[in-house]
Amino acid sequence: MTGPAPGAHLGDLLSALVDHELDPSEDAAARVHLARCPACTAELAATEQARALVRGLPAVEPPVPLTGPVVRRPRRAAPAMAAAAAVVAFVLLAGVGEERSDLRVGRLVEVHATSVVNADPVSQLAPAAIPVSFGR
Amino acid sequence: MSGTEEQPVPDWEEVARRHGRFLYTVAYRLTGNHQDAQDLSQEVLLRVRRGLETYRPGSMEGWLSRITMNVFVDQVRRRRRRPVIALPDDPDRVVPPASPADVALAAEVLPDHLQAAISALPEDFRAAVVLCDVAGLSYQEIGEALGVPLGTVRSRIHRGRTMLREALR
Repeated sequence: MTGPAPGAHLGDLLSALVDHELDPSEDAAARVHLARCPACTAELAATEQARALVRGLPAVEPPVPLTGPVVRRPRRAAPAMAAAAAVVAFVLLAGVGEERSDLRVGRLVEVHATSVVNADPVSQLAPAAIPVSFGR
Repeated sequence: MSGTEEQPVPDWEEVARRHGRFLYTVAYRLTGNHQDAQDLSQEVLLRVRRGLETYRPGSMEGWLSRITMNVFVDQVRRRRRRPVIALPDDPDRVVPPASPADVALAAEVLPDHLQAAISALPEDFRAAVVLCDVAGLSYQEIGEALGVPLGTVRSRIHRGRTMLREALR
């Protein structure tokens, strides 16, 4: 990586300088320049300030646990396709025979939620779901 | 064992438990809202869960950041609400020094105001600043996460910070 040209302002190198990302020769050359350049010294201070502001932002907690079921935002899709996908998914799940009793509710919810790409799947599903035996 | 061999991908629930806050914070600072941050972080965990991303021993946060950037770039391409302003990435280009009046940012910047300024940055610059100052990655790791050379990392970070200062003045 090349250092600053003699006499040139430091420009992009200033961020690398405050981040301790210059190699030793670049760092030395930059500090020589800074010692005699008030403009770059002012720019350095402003760069440090912007850096500190972003670094001072608080961590953000997810509003819902990230380990919960994957629920996707509804995307634009034809309602008929959405309903069909939901019905197919549900019937497939309900008709798996022996395996179905092992299905955890969370898994059902997840598959259901990822299959349903539009709102109000429940009312569409109800007629298809009721006749299916759950083996009780 | 060689340090460069591929390792089994860590269990996604373990990743979510131990690094969920980090992942979500990076996702939130990148996207600027909870809905998109949830989409982004869930997609990252989904890729971890499905073993879609090669895992190499090293910084877990660097690895998660790389996946996050892959997903973010995919989502940005898909949505493309506004075009990326493609500034030249010449690392030797020298930005004119700030005038002294530029230097004084407000002593107190509210987090929401700052987040709005971050969100307004063009994606390339936003990604570099977030990976540097939120994720705390090295320039090397940022270059790997973004797939760009070190000189480009330098210029994106510095120009991103310069744009932030201008937005907050």
